[in-house]
Amino acid sequence: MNLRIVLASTLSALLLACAGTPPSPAPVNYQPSDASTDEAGLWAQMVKVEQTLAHSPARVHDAGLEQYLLEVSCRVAADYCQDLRIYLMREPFFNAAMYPNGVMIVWTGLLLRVEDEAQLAFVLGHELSHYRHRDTLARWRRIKRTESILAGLSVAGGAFGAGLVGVAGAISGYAALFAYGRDLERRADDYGLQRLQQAGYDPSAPGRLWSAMWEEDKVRDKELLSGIFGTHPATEERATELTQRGAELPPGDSQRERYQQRIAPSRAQWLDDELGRRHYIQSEVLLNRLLRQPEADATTRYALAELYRLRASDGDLQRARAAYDAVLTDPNASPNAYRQRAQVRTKLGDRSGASRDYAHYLRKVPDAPERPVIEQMIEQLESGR
Amino acid sequence: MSFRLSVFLLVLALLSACSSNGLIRPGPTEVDGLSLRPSIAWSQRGAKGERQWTIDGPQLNALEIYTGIKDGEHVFKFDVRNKRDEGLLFRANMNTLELQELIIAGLKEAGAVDPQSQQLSPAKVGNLDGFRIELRFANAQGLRYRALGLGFIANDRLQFLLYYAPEEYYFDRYLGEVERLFAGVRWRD
Repeated sequence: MNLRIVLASTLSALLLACAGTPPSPAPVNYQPSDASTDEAGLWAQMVKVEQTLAHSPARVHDAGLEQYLLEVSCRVAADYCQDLRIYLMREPFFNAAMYPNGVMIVWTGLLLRVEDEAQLAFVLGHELSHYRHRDTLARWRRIKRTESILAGLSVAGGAFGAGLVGVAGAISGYAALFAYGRDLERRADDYGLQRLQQAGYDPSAPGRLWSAMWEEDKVRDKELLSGIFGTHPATEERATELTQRGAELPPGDSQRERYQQRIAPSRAQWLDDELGRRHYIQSEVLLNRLLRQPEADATTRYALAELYRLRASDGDLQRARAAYDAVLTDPNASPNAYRQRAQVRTKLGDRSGASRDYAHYLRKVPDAPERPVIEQMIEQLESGR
Repeated sequence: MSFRLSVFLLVLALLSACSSNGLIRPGPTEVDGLSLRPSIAWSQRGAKGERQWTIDGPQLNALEIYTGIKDGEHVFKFDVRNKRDEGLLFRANMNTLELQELIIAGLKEAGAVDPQSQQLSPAKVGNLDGFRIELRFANAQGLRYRALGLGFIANDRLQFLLYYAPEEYYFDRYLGEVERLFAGVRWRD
């Protein structure tokens, strides 16, 4: 065997051997007792992070919804309930995160995508695993150790004149780090599923959720930055495994109706935020899924019409026109649909229809902030300019 | 002098010619095709196509001047104007409502929290049709801002000026100056 390969393999083995012992699980109501430890330092940093979160303008100030999230998390977390604090942040991505001190962040893009309480409970149970197993601390220690070993490898590689040893060692080191991260995620999935079942929720929920995420992830345009995932992407393997494991467990409640009732007042804003990502191919998959659900309403149909209008690819204006027409058959439709349909009608050459829609919008929203511009548009449409 | 060094110095000289950081004195001035007449001194930084003027520092008041934005380009992100971003791009056939959407989306992407249009009106820039927009938003730390924008399309290119400052004290402090400045903006083709 080539000497460089032997050296690289040996050093990689060294990296794995130096992985260190993971921290023991956190007991209920845990706090680091020794202020001189790295963990206490990490917690001190988290106090500042939590203050920033609490006062962030991106925080959703909806006491009812935050209370609901706490209730579901407590049903899943049981004894650990008192350790958790949840912050709901207005971000249109599929993400939740757990900090070592029990602070959990849930993004609104996740709530838009989740279909029922059981799916939400699984995500919260997954995050609880990161808290209980002190995963942030474990990963932090692992990163520090890997980096210091890699720094050593770099020096050793240079001294030996064997640059490739350093490169191979670095690749192995970072690969081990990523593999470690994946292991923690698998364990968190296991734990989430276990907690879900103990709380009496439908065990098919995780498989359904991740299959839906996989559908969105598959169409992701890799050249665009705005993929929906804040941390790790969906994988087919994860969706398949969770679906299989869920099928082997006894059935439970999905609590779909309760969940949908809770999020209904916020859905219009979250859909608007979703379109603001301007990643239309992914949003189209999401909106079509939401439209297949029993709760599909004018709000979701309006979002799809907006997507077509904004994307304006071949045939989209016609699709947008048809979608606005459908939205406006609903008496609860947003009056904005008239204004938006007017824009589409103008582009399609239907000037009189556009003028009527603008006028209808102004009757419905007399104090519209863009009233002067719309009045000018009506005048131009009617005068043929 | 080596060939590489000569090329480097030439590029450096060209870049310096494009960027003009320094003081804008009261009186008539030209900025990338726009005629402006400030009545007080502003500091300027930036390069052709994206300038920033300020009096007390950009956190306290700023006038951004975006010029020559072509069809298919970003409004705000000069450094990535030609890169892909589905949808968040200027189109020469956009109406004023679409330009309003674009500006709000651009502000969001730039980190403004919950930008909202308060007023959108037609405006004249010399003989050209334009628009005037009033906005409110917050920064990531929660500080509330007000903004006033003036935009128009000339030669299929968007020109857009945006003044913003914290709504408490600073916005009103130089609003009169900005109103006069906007009223005097002219496009020199």
